[in-house]
Amino acid sequence: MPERMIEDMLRAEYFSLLPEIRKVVWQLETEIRYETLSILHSLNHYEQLIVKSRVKDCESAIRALQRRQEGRVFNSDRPEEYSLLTLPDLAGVRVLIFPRSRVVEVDGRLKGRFAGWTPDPVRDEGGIALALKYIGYCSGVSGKVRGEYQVVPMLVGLFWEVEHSAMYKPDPSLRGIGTSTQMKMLKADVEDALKRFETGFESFVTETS
Amino acid sequence: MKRDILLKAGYRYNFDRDLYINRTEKKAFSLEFVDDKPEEELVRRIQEASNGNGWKFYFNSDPPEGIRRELERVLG
Repeated sequence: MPERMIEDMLRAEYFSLLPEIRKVVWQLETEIRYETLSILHSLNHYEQLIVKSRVKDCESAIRALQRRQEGRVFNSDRPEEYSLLTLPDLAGVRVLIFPRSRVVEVDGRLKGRFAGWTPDPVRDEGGIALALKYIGYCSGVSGKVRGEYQVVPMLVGLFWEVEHSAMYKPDPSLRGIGTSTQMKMLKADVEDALKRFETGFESFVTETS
Repeated sequence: MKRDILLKAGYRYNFDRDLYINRTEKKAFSLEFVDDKPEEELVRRIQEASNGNGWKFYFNSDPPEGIRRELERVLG
């Protein structure tokens, strides 16, 4: 089977799974909103909590599966080895929180609800956790499509929204930007600066309250 | 740095496949192989004789025939 046909096979799989992916994302978002509602109501006026959800689009899912193969090609002799269900993030929810001190509170609340989900923190190049991430099944909704939720300091999360689409879904003329050592260093600098801002902000709040 | 060693040896980065390739030598190193192996092994592999007409792939997992065939098609 030519590689193009494997991609077509995966497109067909995607659209057969789509109703189930949507159900998972709705369920996950609703449960997370419910679980964090009391925290939302207790926020100080300078604090924020935003819940965002997304269904991974078809071509991103295929590219993500392809990126997991060495050489970034599918084995045309073994089409049965490939399924989009191996991706953990077809249905994803991100909770953005400011300031950072509220992250622990939200994480603790959600861990109680999603006990048994597998932690898989997002780490920087040095191995330091930048955000918390969990993967699992929404019981009673789907035993096939996994959900993923992230608990992310807001400034870093908003930076990622811009950075990911510029670096990993770039214009063809910017090919290679995602693997550029210089851009990786600049990204690390930004994440570090945002972290320092949040830490400094929290210290200021603590000292003045 | 490993990247500099490869560039100096005439390898160019293929962004579509995440491979360092040398069309003259017909050799290709996967990004995973380059990341995981020590510099000494990389230098040793660069110095290895090529396969003549066929491509030689340095992957962490030996690429099966279907992948080899597809890569040879796209690399030319």
